[in-house]
Amino acid sequence: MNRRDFFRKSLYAGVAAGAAWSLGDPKKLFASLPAGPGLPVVPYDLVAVKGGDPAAMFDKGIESMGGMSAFVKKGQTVVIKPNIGWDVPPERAANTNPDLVKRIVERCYSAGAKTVYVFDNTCDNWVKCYQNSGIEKAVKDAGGKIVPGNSEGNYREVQVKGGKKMKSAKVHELILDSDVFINVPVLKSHSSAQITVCMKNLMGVVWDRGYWHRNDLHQCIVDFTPVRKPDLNVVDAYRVLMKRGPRGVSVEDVEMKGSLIISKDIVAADAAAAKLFGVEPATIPYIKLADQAQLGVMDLTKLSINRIKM
Amino acid sequence: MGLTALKPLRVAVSLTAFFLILYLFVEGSGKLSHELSRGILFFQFVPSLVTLFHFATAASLGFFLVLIFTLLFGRVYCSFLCPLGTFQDLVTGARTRLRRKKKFRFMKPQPWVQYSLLAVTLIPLLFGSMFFLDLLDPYSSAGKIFSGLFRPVWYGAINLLAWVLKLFNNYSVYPVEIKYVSVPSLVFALVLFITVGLLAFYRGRWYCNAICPVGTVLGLVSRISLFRIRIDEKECTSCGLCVRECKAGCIDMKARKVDFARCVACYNCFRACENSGFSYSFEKRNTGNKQDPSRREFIKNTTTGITSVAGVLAAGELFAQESKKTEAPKPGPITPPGSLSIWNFTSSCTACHLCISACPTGVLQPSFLEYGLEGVFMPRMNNVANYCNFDCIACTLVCPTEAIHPLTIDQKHVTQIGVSKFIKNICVVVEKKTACGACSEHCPTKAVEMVPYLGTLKIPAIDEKLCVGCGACEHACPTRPIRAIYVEPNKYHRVAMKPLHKVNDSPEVKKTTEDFPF
Repeated sequence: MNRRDFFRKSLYAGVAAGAAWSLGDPKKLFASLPAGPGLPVVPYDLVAVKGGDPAAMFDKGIESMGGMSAFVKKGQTVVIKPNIGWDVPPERAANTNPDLVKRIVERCYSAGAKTVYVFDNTCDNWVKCYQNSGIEKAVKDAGGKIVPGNSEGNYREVQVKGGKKMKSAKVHELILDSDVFINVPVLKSHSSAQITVCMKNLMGVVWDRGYWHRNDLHQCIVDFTPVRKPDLNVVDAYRVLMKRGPRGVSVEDVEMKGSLIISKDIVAADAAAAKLFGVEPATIPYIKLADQAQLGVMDLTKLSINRIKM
Repeated sequence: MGLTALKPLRVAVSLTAFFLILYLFVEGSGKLSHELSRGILFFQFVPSLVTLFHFATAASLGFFLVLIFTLLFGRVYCSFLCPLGTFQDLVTGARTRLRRKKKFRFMKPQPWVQYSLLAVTLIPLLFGSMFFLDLLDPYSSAGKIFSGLFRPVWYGAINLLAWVLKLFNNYSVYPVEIKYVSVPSLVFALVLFITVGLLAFYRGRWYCNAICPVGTVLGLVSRISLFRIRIDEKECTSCGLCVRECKAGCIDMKARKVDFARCVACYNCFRACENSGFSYSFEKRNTGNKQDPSRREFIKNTTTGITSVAGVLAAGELFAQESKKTEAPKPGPITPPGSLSIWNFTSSCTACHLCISACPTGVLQPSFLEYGLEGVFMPRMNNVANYCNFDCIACTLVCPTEAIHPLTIDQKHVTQIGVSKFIKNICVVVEKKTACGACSEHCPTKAVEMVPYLGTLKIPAIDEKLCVGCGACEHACPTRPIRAIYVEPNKYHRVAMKPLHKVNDSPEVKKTTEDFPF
């Protein structure tokens, strides 16, 4: 798709979308449309990209979502939450790909963002995680601000409305105060939650994770999801830790999937990632519970999906 | 005469040594500290001595060089190299600025105090115990003060700076996490700081001549030093200016004698004297006839002393070797990787707390009575505070006594300091029937693996062969007050198995033509 094509398609898309809105529930309309080439099926609920390097896949994907400016407006503050949980290098795929994080920071700035913050409340020693994940350098190189996630003073108590197991949580102030929240997890196997993607990644914006583990992990993941829903979810599935996650033991646990998923729907993103991982979304309790709680759509057949192969 | 130049030389060397050592202790987790520490601490008397008795290495040379210096020039260690000595000098210096008039006087020697403390330091060594040595070694005392008091102050300053910068939306300074405070050790460091500080304020180097066992030993040696400070009868006018400057209080103006055994070689007297009334030479000055017999006696004493110290230490070694076979297999403190065994560790550690300063995660914390009274304040792995980073060897690089041996990363990866044990009935999965796996998540070798339990639920299972005892599982375990998974120490460290990998698991690039699974 070259630029001219893109503009043309965007125009069609705009017209189509407008028409759809005027006709009623746009989802239903789009779901019935075949996702063939040349047909302007935007706005997509989800975009999946395959076959490029992480940065290039993001560019392709976000383009089909209407570009970064659809999510980040001029002068806004953005917080990006990758997974930086472990003191391992990028090849081990336990942390979000640094090239992907870097490209997202760059795109936020080109869309006019005032400041782009990046942090995680890590599991391993945070200074080492920031360093060895390559994310600290990537963020600094792109002009973003890498922010410590391990100071309790930066977390504020918030109520978890409608939470079944969780009534309140201490949440990082940047998540609460930034204009735009972009969730950038890495898809991995996970010894507690089976797989970790978008919703599970939010565990890294709260202070006390032990509470989740003690009080029905899957329900807590679901309880916390609506507290501050990300404006955009970008799933790094370039290198995927297929077993012995979330930390992994060696590169032999990693499979090269070369994929990326982008969606505003956090449940849909998790469901698509689960499929990519090779498991049925409904077998992952938190995905199923989140779908039941109507936090998003687990059934991918109900969504308009743009599948891009590079 | 160049004697007056000795004081500035001493000040320059001592301040350099002091601040380098202070740096090691407050910024201990930095790479630079890891690389420099063994060099900087080369001349520290007790650590070097300890390496001699366990594994004579290059580090043992420092001890001999200090002995040679002392035999030549007296107790230069005390004023040039000892961090606790320089700490006292800094206090004294501050005092001089505060109340200029009040100066020092001749102080009586404290042989009873001094030799009793030397004895109580040496006698426990008979039983292979470092008790009293780890409380009285001046380097280790300075270490406890630096690591326990100055380091938190330094961290506080960094955190304050980080906080201020954050107000301006600047995150360039990372705050330091203080996850755990070992109260008994903190109190001890505080007591040391106040006691030594007050003594220095009021009595100069009294501590070094009454309490410090290193001062006592070097004092014995300095009685036969070749170069000695003496009062030149011809030039001295008995004005007493030197006495006022003598921190050790070892110049007896009435007898016109310098008690060289108590002289800490600060060379203040040379500067104070307006008449070149001192000599620092090896020629025998026939100033009195008492000196020679006393010297002979002291040669005898010292020889006996050194022989008995050696004997005591050797016997201690034997006893300790003996006792290790009869140790009861009860859970106790976990010693850091590289320490080989609890026995090796507790018989070599002087509790200077440098490894605690060097540890980036804070898993190494001062113990209190976990090792028993004799191992008081020696570091232990405290998995409540944190866990041992799998790819870190910081503590093994810095230890000046070889209580912790240097390890390579590959050696560290298979060093099993303990083994995880699972208390099934209090595990969240069993008790609440909800998913958890925090232990397995954190495990760097997947010695803790989740296995099927009820329905889709999984519970941890431990492969002890793979476990290195890092404590990540114990730290992450959410159950309270007792954690459902904990590390039982290996009294003797073992070699863990390397995690097995199947050959066909190697990464493979999937073809992008393959369709999306949705």
